[in-house]
Amino acid sequence: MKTVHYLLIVAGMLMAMNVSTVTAQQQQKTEFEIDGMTFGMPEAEVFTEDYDGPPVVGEYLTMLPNLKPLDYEGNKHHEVRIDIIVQEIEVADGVRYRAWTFGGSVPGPVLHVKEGDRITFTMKNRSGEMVQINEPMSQLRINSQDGMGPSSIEPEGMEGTNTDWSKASPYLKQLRQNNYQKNKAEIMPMPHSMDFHSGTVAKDDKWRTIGPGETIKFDWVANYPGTYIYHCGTPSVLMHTSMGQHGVVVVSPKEGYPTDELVDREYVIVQSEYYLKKGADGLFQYDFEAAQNRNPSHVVFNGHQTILHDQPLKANAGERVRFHFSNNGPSGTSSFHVIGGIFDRVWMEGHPYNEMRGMQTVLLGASSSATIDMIVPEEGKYILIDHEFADAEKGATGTLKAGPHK
Amino acid sequence: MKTVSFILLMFCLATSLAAQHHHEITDALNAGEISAEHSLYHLDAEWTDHRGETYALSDFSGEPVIVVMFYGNCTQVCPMLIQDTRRLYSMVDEANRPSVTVLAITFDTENDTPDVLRKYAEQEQLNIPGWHFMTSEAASVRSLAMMLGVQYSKKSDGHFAHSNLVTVFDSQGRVAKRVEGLNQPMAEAAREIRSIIKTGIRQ
Amino acid sequence: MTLQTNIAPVNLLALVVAAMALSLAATARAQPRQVLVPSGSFHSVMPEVEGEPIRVASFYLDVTAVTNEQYEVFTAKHEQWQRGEVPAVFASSDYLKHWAASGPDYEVIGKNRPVTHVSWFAANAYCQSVGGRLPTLNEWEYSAQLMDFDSQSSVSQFAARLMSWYSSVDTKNSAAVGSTGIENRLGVKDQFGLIMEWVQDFKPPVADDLSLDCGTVGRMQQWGNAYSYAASIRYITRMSYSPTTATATMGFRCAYNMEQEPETATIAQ
Repeated sequence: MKTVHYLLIVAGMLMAMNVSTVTAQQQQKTEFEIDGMTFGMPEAEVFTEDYDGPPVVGEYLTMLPNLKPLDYEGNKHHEVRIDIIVQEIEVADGVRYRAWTFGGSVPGPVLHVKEGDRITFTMKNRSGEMVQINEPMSQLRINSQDGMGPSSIEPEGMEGTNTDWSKASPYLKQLRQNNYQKNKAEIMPMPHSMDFHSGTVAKDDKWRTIGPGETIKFDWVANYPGTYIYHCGTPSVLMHTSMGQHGVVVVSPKEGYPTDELVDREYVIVQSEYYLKKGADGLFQYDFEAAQNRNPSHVVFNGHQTILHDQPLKANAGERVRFHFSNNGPSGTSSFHVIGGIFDRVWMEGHPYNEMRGMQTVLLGASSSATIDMIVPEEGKYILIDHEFADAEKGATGTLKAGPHK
Repeated sequence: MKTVSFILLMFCLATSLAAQHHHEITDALNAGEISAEHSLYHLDAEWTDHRGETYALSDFSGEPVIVVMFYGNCTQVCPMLIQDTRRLYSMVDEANRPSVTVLAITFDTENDTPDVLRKYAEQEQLNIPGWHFMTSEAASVRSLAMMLGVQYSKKSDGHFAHSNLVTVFDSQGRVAKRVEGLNQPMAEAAREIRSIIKTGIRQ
Repeated sequence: MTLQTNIAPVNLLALVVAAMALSLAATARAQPRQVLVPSGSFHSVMPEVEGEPIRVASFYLDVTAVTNEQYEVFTAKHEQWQRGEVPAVFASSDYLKHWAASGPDYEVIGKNRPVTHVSWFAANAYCQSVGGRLPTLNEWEYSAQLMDFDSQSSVSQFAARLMSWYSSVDTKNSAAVGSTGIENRLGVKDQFGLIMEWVQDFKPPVADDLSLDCGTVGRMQQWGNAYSYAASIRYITRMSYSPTTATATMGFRCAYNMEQEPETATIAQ
């Protein structure tokens, strides 16, 4: 295994000289198919690049709770970038800390792909540089259709520089429009890595740790449908994920779910824990003892203690709402329930074969998910809640506000 | 596989230390990763070879260079590593051999004086033109190792745990080929050397 | 009480005796720039053979990390290490990023703050230029754990402080060397709480395997104590860097062999 590894590194070196041929040869050499799924991705590349563009690039990356609809037939090869940046963020009223993030928020951007899609993923560890992503909207030029397409959001004063903002994702635009974590750029150089649970690869290659200033690039194929967590896998994993390095990928099944035609709205909800204590400078910081003892200071939906009350999810009576719900942990379980509702269909882990019906509560371990359909019974207020009440009282609740039946 | 090899490695380290004697083979360290665009000739340290002559590495630019790191008191692994290097050297046509430089550089800057290195070269029957058994200041040796991706650390018994790596450099001092491990096939590395002799640069 | 959880006071008595003898012999200097770290042994968080702590021979160590001012003296003498002159093989483009192109602006970065944004190669060259070398990983860690604590709870408090530093360091407001109030019993200052420091062999043997595994932290824990938890974060972070990395948290100090006793050295007061 080690020998192969180094042969591949040498191949990687040759690649620097003759990229196209070697890549093609490598793919021929390494890839194989089983049951229509693709395995054997080429060796990851680790390199340094002078990249100072948008930290999140890709048409199908959105900010929670949004999910970008898949508007293409068949499969697609996605080029996705999610850089690691440090941001001081607010996670509850008056609670700010310097978060280690994928792309700028906690959790990071939602990536939406289809079963069978291939993703070429690039990630630069920019923990050692200030990356501003929170310019107010008035200072940005925004050209996009319905805010979901690739947008030109070049910050003012950046015109004519080499930075190409045209490829920035809908995520960045949404974050600027609705910056509920009130981002402030920060620096805290640390080694980091990326582990996509949606990818089936060797971790000692693709999930490699890279130092500040380094970039890693690798391919993975979304072989299985479902909602999958991604997170930093650099030890201490508990610390890195608690510091904010996690998010989700939604892999929609090739053949869809049986109720797809009936769904009126889709939302992505991520539950996670923070382990914070107040530091001397007023900012909060990681409380490793609380983390080790599984005693979170906050348990939240979509990264902020009150966001799903401040900005309730919306629906109308009689509508079928779909939740892509992931419990990103790092260490707790979630017993997801909606007060006043019963889940019509639940696909555990989001796989269409794992269908259950009529569930009151979905129990999810750390890094587990479910795709959930619920019919909104009548106009009114529905509380989304982790029915483990200790978690609920630390913040794991939200609101679905239903309008009248139409 | 990785975990298993790790556990084995730890076990080997443990047993060798516990027994307080040296099992060099089991102590082999993996070579680290490096960038292929880095030129060796940026390193401006002074090196002394087994003939007592001093060089800068850039003195060897323009032609292919084979670099191997070893130490004199290493009685099991290093002779094999040196013989691997000799095997590679021998695979170059006799007519071309004068174009090839071999630098065998010691980790053990305390014990491997030029005189000790000369004896070592003679004992290995490699006191031949084009071969330089060299030493330098410890910090320069450490820098070179870092550039090559050779890991080594001195153990309390005076021996070194180290990577086994033979590296071929092109005329500009860039890595053309790395051969990691003992008794590895050298055909590709030899091909690379022939190409460098022809074109100056790696394939 | 010594820090028994992580450190076996194997040679503690010998060390104290040696230090006392040496301090009697030494002429007292007001502000030693180096101190003698007498030989001894310790347990690291790395795997080791039971009953065989890591032995470290005597060496001299800088009392504080190298400062911006000291580093400027070095770059003035060695132009190849000036910002903009260093080839990519020796340092990333972040090298001395916080210095102005013409040199350090001390109004902004402070003369006596530790130099950062220096690669391993740069740190290695600096120490070589002053007749020293980078400390080995074991030397650095050995010195770092020569600390006295009143009780197990003060060990825990200290470890918590380290952890909070590792997870919330504010690199924009770094402090001067010697300002942390953290020092070992020989007077070596700020090994914690100011910057992280390069060591000669920062990727120790088996780093490849150790640094990449999620379970690493768990494997590094000794008796589940907080101090070794903080240490494991330090080991893992340090070994994950590349020798060309130049970041806001990485600086260094130099060590010296016994036969290279620096003129400015003294032993513990």
